[in-house]
Amino acid sequence: MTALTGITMLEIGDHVSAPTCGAILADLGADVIKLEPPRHGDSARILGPFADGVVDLEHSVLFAHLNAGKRGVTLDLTMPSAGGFLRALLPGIDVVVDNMTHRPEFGGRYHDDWLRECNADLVIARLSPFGRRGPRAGWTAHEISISAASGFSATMGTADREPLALSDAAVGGNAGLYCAAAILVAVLGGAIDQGGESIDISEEEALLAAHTASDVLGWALARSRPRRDGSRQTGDRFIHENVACRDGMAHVSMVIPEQRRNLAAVVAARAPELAPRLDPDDVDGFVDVVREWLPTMTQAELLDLELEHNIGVLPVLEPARFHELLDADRSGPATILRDPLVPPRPAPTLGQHNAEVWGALPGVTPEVLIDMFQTGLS
Amino acid sequence: MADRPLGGTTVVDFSHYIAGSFATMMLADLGARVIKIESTVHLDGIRRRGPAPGRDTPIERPGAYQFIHGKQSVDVNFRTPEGRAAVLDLVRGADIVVENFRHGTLDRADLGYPILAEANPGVIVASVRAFLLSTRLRDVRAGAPAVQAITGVDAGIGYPDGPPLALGRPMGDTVAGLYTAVSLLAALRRRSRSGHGEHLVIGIDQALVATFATAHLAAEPVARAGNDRAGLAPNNFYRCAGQDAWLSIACRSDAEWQGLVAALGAPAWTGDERFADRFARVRHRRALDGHLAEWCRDQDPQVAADRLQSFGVAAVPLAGPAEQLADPHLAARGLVTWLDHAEVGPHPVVNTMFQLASVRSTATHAAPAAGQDTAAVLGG
Repeated sequence: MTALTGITMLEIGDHVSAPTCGAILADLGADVIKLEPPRHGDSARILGPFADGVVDLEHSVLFAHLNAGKRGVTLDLTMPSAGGFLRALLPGIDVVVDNMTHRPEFGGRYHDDWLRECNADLVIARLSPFGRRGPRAGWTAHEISISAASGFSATMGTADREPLALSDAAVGGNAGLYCAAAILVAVLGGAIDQGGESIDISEEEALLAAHTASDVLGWALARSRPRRDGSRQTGDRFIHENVACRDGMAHVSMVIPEQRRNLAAVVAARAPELAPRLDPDDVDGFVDVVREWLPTMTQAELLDLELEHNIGVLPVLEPARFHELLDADRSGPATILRDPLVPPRPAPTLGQHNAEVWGALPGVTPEVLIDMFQTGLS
Repeated sequence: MADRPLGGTTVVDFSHYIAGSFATMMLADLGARVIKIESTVHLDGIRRRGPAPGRDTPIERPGAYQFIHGKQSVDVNFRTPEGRAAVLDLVRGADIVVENFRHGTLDRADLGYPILAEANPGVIVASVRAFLLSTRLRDVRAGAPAVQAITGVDAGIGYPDGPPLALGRPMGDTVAGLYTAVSLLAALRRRSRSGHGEHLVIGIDQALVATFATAHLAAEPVARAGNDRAGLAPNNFYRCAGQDAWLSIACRSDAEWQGLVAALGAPAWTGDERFADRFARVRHRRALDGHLAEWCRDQDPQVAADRLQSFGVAAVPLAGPAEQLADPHLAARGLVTWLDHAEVGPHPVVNTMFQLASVRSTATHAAPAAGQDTAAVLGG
């Protein structure tokens, strides 16, 4: 039995964050109805990569990955007439996930009170850049803005150049994951039968609480600031660093003393001239020697040495090269993770389930469906 | 509904370092009783001590005060017969067990999933591993930064003219911890319907592949694009007045661009045909960067952000922990709880920011010293 069988969710979701949340809930058994604006649909439909090189609204591989397993309908929520259809749909919905209606073009129409008048027991989860309350609630943002505010960019890049932003899909995906957790908390607490719940996920906070919280403690307790160290991550007596090897880069972890000792033995056996300078207890000096040795080694040789000797060195690979290392059969223990490496199930085409979903509402005759289509409402 | 929905839930937590600990920290913030199993013989690596400016004695790594807060600590070596028996007793009364040892560690201690499930058929066990997608890599000892390097995360990070850089933080651990928490919440819901426990296995490699899905979906090699993003121009950080002060500015729509033009006072260069529409701006983003870099050079990033935001432009300063702790927005939304730690005194911890209207997911007590709750939990 899956966790959310019997639960119906309406996803008013664009791009990555809310669709990721919808994907997780769909995979947990929820019936997810995805609502998109007519004509262009979810903006992820125009994001690559595109299947078979066909650049159109129905070939985005990212869109398919995020939206497989959902039903798809269209409705123009900026048109006043949309409200009636939403009002008729909501009594059959348990959870609403929304990352769109905070934008100015929706005029604040679909606020929590309005939704709750349609269905008092709704779990309403809103995703927005900075959350729906607080002094910065109305600020405009794109993914780089979230990367900046959350502190994530404070460690990305080099000190002499501009900071770098986390990839867009990672920013949105993280918020979607955080939102899925919050919805499960509400469901576990019995909210669906007991007056519903309102959830206010901030993309900034989701990144901060999940991934940069230690920096806050580092500052509060030890006045240490995150640094943009390029290919390095350093801390008290540890170093992670990407270093050039013969045919690319290799990642060197100087964390576990046993691995440093093993690496020292491996280097000494292959480059005796370096042996006198290898002191596993002097981490910085040790890395300097390793930096001299690595250009004599290929990534494949280093991986073999790692597998045999446990030396704390792994190749820095392109995704496609990593895929070559994977098991053919990855149908291991059940997880909530969609595997982007298997071809996705079909995602809904734009408006695919309009007749099925809107047509099931009282009074929505085939003539009404045609009017909806011809006037641009759906 | 109960304001701490996991009140009454007991978690036996074998986690060390971050991945498992982050998951159980969120459960603690939701009201679960989390019993951290550690051994003073073999301390959790996150408790390793280092010097801290302004303090006479070394303190634990900052992460320890964050990730272990809200838990109880029991000193027990499960590799001894007495320790193993004590742990099994705790598991009999538990709802959840979390561990992130290397593959096979608990099996060798005769505490593998079949043994735990026999002791308690309703128990949900979560195991977090570095590598789950590749049998070849299964036994490699690797921290999150190394997993990030080999799975292709680092290949996508860097300037267009440079080598792969690094994320600079162990996101593999924290994102796997987040997936673990979601998996555990779902399993609790399944158990409430079926009565059965289960074994969940989460890979750090798998969590990273899911998080950076776009790179894995692409057939072609990753291009390091700096801050360039499809359809956005500008989209970059610009240096401002002050030490390492930066402002991010990003525009997608024409409305945002018009707002930016107005906020800058419509200087002549904004009328250049190279910036006439979205398509043109994306094609000439480097030229656009040059103009914005010049404008930002003398600006205070916060003042400039406030001005640009008032014109509807996504302008946000680069923040670090000092700025975040002083930020009125994050304060108003309850980012941190101040706790009093027996050794280091008052300090903030970052709360679990699920932001439900009727549920608290905030920190309640500071991280325990190793073994401080042994007698209270195990008795005598």
